[in-house]
Amino acid sequence: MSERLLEVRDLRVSFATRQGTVRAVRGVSFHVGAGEILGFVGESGSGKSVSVLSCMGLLARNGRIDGGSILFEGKELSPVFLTTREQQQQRENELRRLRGGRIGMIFQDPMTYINPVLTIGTQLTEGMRAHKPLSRKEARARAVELMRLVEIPDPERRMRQYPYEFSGGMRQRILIAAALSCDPKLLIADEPTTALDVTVQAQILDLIRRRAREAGTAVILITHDLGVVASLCDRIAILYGGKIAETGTTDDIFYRAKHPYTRGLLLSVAARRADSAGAGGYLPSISGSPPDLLRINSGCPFAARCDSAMKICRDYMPVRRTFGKGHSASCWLYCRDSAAEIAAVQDRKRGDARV
Amino acid sequence: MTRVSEPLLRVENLSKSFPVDNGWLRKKSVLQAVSGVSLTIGRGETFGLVGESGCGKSTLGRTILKVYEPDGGRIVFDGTDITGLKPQAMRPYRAKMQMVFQDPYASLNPRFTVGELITEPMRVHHLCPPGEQNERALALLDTVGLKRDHLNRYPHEFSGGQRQRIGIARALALNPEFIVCDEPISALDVSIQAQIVNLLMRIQREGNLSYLFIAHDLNMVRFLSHRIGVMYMGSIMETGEADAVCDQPMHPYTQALISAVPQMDPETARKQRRIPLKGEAPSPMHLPAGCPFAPRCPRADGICREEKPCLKPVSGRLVACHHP
Repeated sequence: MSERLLEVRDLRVSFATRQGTVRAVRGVSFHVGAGEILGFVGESGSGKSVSVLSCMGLLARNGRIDGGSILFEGKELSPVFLTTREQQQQRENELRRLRGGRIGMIFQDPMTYINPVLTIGTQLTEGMRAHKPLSRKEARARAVELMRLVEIPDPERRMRQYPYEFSGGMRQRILIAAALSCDPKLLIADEPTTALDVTVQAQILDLIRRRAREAGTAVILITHDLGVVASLCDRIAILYGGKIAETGTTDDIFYRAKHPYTRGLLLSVAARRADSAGAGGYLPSISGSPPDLLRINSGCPFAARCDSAMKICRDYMPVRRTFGKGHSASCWLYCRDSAAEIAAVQDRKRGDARV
Repeated sequence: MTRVSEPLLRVENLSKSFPVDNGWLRKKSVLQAVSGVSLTIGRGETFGLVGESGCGKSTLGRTILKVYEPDGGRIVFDGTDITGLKPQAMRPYRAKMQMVFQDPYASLNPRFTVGELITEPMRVHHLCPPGEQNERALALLDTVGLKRDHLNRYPHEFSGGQRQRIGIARALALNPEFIVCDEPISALDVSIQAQIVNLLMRIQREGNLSYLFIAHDLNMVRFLSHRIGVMYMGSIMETGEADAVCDQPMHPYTQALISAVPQMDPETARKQRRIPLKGEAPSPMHLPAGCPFAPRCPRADGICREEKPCLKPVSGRLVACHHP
């Protein structure tokens, strides 16, 4: 296995809202190495974006990291170990150096992240000039090169144009060019193709794949689209209710899925091919809707919608079970044998919390 | 799946364009959104319309419902030409042709309760005596899988999937025969999409409804459509049986489109060979004279750039291409 570029352990993130505390991420661990593409899959509110973006210090004002460790190139980025204001300021500065430099980011809607009143050239060179000792001229030359890399025709002329003169797919390619401008070690792509058409989506995914294979960039791809991860990712983490339900290689997830949520999700999309539809030509579906994170209980977050749910699922959280190298799932179906001990531990913890 | 021969809806050579204001003192230009589209939809049939953003699929759906006044062509619904009908004469047809919208957060009035939302079409069309409207709304809630005590709640209290169910109940309130579903699932979570699709399919079977199902998710469109049409720059490029078109696309655009759809299976995905499209889609304000796909097409030659191809039968389907 490649060296771990980013390693996150037991990350916890919460948001203070008027209705109460939303615990959006509740103990998420993952890692990614050079040249590897890791897919984060989940529905809205599953915590997939917050898990990754909070590592980069990108949290809304009402959000905070409550616990966990975030190691990037061996350096701790988690604020939970910091006590003094000075240390916190230091961490902020460190993150600022990383973002746009060693960590590149691409977001869903290219128009909201591009400044409409600045030329593309200005915006492409801005990051490079901030992170690298380049002259204006050198930066422009590099920007032209980057635009060629993302296959934008006539880059010299295009540099002087404004975002409105570009199509949606081209804007997204510009964002990718900007994200790659400082040769990042890690590229975070948050739903990079959701706003795009399939033919454009295929181009963008090709670009990301080439970057990982050829330049050894580590990629974390956040998406809700299982088709995108199937064709692009090496490993996948399936998130549900702020926890990782299952994680493994792409083949583990698609061919040897263990968690009932993963299975249900795969069934409901795979059966879209008419020949594999369920009884009466209907799609197999998961009943109910995703959990309300304000009112989440102590059990498995998927219990209310799960066909295999048992009594214990509603009250106690299952522990992670490993099924092979790197493949694990958190489900009571696989840890029933030690149910009594697990429940006792959780009872004790809850008792402690109450005291 | 059963098939009924007599078409409920026949659209012939339908066109719709919009004037575009280029600013003060500049000439106005014309955006040709739909140009010469013909299609038929039978009773109980689902016609899936796919295409990329800006290809005119939503405009086509809305023009068929006469939300937009067509520029040319004919819309024949249940044997009656409704193209030129005055608003008053159109009223009974409006009740029979309904729409389900994409964004369930934008399509429901936040100040109406669910009951008011569902009974509003009944009040407008006087289709149901006021005393029976509530009873009918409750029955509709059952049909779409909501609880009866949801009647007095407001839209903000519901999740996206539930709101889409409210939108469907509202569309069903007038016992329509034809529903345009304009991207009804693309704003929903993956696990909820299957629920809504199953609901739409059950309602169709129970009421022998016809659907025009507009979406960009080819897998989903294939699953629930009997026939599909592939649109590009305002024209239908290929139309035929859903499985035939998806398995053996004939038009070069359909081939490129289908080759770009992400495969749900990692094995197949690794083997997938994408047919790259060169360049960008042309601007709908300056459509090429010949085939709209010609500038990006690997097979294009002289005739493609001069003459627009019309739909011709090729191995059991219709293809608009000079070199199928």
